[in-house]
Amino acid sequence: MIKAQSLVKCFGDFTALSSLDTEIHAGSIYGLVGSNGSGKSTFLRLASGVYMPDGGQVTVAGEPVYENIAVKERIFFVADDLYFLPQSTLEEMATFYKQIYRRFSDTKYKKLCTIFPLDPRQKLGTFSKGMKRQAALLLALSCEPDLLLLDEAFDGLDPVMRGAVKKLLSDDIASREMTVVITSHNLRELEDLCDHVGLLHQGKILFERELDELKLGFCKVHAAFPQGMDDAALAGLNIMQAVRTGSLVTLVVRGNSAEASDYLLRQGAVFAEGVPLTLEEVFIHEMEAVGYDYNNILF
Amino acid sequence: MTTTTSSSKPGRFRELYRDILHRNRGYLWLYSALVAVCYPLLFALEAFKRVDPAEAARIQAYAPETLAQNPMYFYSFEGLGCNFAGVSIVFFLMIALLAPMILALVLNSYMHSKKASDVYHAIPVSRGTLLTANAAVGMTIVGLPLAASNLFIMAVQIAKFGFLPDVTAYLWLDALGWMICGFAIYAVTTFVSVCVGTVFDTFVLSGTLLLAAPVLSALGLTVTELFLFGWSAGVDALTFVTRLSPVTLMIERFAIADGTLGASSPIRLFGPDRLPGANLALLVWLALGLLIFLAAVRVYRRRRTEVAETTSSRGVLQALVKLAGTAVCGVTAGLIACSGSHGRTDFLLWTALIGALAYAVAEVVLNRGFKTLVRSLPLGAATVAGVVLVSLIPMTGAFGYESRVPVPEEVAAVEIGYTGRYAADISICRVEPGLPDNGGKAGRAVGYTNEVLLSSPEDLSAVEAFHRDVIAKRYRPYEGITLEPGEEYMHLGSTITYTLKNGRTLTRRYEGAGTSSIRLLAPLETSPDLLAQTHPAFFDRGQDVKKWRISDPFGAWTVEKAWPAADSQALLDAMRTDLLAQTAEDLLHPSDAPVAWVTFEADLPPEGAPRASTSGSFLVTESSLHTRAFLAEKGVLDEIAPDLDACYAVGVSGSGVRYLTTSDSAVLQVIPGRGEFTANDYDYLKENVEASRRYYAENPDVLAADFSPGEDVELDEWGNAVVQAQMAGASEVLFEDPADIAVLAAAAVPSWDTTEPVVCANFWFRGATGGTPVLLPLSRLPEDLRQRIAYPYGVPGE
Repeated sequence: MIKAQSLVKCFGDFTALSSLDTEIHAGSIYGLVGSNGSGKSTFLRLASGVYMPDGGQVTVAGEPVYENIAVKERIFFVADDLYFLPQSTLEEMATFYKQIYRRFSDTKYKKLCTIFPLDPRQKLGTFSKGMKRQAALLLALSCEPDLLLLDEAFDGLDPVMRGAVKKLLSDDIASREMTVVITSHNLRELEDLCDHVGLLHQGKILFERELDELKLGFCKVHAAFPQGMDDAALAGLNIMQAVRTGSLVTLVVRGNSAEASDYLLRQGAVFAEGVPLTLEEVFIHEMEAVGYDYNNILF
Repeated sequence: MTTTTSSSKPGRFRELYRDILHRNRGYLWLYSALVAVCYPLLFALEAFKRVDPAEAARIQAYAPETLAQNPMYFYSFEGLGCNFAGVSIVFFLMIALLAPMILALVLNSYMHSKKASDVYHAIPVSRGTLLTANAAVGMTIVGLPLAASNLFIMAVQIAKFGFLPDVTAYLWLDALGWMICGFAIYAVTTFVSVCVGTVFDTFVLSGTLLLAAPVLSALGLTVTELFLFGWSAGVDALTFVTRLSPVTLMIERFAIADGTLGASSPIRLFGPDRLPGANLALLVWLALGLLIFLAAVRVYRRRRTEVAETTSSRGVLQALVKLAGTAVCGVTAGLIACSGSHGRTDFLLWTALIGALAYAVAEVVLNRGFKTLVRSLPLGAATVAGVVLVSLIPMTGAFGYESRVPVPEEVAAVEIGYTGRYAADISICRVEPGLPDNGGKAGRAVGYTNEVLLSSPEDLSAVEAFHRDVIAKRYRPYEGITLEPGEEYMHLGSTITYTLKNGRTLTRRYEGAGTSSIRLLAPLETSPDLLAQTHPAFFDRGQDVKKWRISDPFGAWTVEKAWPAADSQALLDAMRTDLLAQTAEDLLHPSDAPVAWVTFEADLPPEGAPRASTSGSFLVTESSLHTRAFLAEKGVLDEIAPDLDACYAVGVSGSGVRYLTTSDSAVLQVIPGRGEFTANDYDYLKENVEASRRYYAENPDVLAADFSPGEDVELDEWGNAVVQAQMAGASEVLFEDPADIAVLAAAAVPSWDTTEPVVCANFWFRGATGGTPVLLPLSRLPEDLRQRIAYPYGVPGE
């Protein structure tokens, strides 16, 4: 759906994106993570046609986006810093988008109005931050885009609404093969939503993987050795990280958690159990594996 | 890169236009309300005001043609369409010119907000469509109230004054003009909007761009006029300045007289001949507006969205604004500083100083801080230096402009603002046929002129000699003028326009000159070309003459005659023949005496004429054979022949000569009607003279102070020549001895050389009620009389 080739974007002397290459497939939900200033928002603005690339190109469905009305008709961009027309209500904003987006669905708009607890006739300026975010997502989904670009989409949403939004996104992806690119500096927000993640650092995609593939490669195991143990006992595991707290050992190892647990039980552990890795932990270890100090990149 | 536009683009444009208009309907109502109050409401108040029934009845009874000519006679309307009343011009002008700029700032402000441009630049609408839809909304908001107001005004005009095709046409032509100016202002502001990142910068830069051209041009004209000798901004330059910006473009139209209504119609600063040029200027600005808007669309398509909310003092527009700010502030300060002294050093110093300060302020304002100030100093210095260097051009003669005088061989003709000795107190005009101003007998005066066109080699040589002398002597009052003793500086306001044989023209204007330079134009006084254009005997007709008045040269006896047209024509012919027979030397140093003054009053020819005057005069001398013959045949000369034996006193004074005579002419001649005196004036003079005699006898020190002749001539604050001490002959001297009177009468001349000292004399005759002055050259008086004129109360110290 989106293909970026040697994409460059500069702001004066500062290079926000430097020769970025990536490809995001249709129907996927792609999480783009990175620290502040890493270029996440810039990439979304380039993909939505807000910015003009300084080098390389970004295409959506095989066509450049900038000033391409036919392509933009299929894209909706929800920015981090939301903007609504001055003094407008949700209803007026819906009218505005309805005139611009041919695929705007009244039915969907009305249905979403029942899901999001918002008064369509109330001025958007009086809405809270979270309510404004809901309104923006409501309008975006009503336009039924093929590509939805969400910048910090969950910022300000309460947990219940986050769940609702995730479900709505999943439904659209399932029913219409919508592609979603969502940025966040918080991996935990994305881990139960995205099927692909990419890490943006200093204007480049440092790392991108399919989430399932990523999580399958590592596992985390808790084990208890009341009588103690030698380091040699762990020699059979490909250990990425080991933390000992008294008799309790927490290991991050490459491979399957069941096999690792069995191995530790055979080495004398009274208790060994695999626990789910957070996406953040997966990232930390995956990046360390390729030679980066994760802590210096994300946090 | 593939650029695709939606197949439903027109539909999207319409929807976008409707949506933007709907969202901005508040501005439409607000602007409509402002326009309604300032324009049609004030018009209606004037149109429906109460007219005094007695005055209306009086006009209807005595001058019905006035109302036929101008149905709006009782009302004060301005503008070519007679659609503005009183102050509505000022209010409407401000509103109509500010509104497009404000609308452009408001409608395009989204691109100066990062948040808003995220939305507007992400939606599937091309930037060109977005900009055009906004412009269409802006023009709708400006145009709808104007159209509605004009419909209302037109309806009132037709209902109240009847259908006046010219007025209605001008009404809508001006409406089109307002729309064009509005669009051009909107286009310029939009262009700046897409080039900068904030609304404030847009306001400052577009305001500067819109006003820079006329303001800088006006300042340039002022500086050039001040420092470049021989150059003057004419009406063409003034209209050119107003046409440089859509902000000032409509102002010119208010100053154009339409020529269709009476005197109460539009301000008559410019004639209707300016209208085609003003209309063309509107068309040019329409084209420019479209080009600027298309350029804005083109730039906007490639505009970097991230420019929003950023400021910069760099860029072409910013450099232009800094240059304009430096030039306007610097030159204005320079002009103020040198307004008293006219010193070039003062001007340059203050231009550089305030220009540099203005540049620094512009840099700080545009960059919102001082960070770039030091870095921009070299550019600032170059800008200031540029302004100063440009200012130096007129100061240093503008590459030979000041000294250029074409030789007669390359000149086809010359037009000069010099009308000679007979056109001093008359108005020569072009006459158009029309409804009568005076009982159905006269034409309508349009376009007064005080310039003559000359082409003979003799005339061209005289003008060249005068021109070269003026340049050599450089008469600039505030720069200091060196005059010869006895010479005076005279205001001329004379424009010289050479039409060269290669088709080009060369124009110079000189505000004044010394009498020694003016004297070089003496050959023009007898030029057939000049006489044919300045003396009414050459263009007025006997049939239009209403009344003749003939008086003796002392003005003591006057007879009035109303001769038949044929006789009047014969007298005009005689005058013409006598005028053509005179030589310059006859005029400068005449050997004959004045015989009579002939003056006449005439109607303007009802069928129109290229040149006519309602009055004229001719000083008959002993050499005026034909005129004298006519007057003698009619017996008039006998009726007015002065009896010198009846003259009982003569008052002589040198102080009023410049007022009483054609002092800005190469030939001095008394102007008929000037300085008339009565018999009672003799008593006053006698009393004054005796009182002065007693006073000076008692105060010899005052006598010495008052009657020490000054040598240095200097100019007063108006450029008039004055002597430091009182000049001899300034006091009026009374002669009552018959022998003296006879000598004085014998010295009277019809005209004299303007460079030589003369006095004026009043001759009192028994039985006469008054008289007019005559000219007495001092050189024609004996030494003792000259001494008495110079020192009427005795020579100091003797």
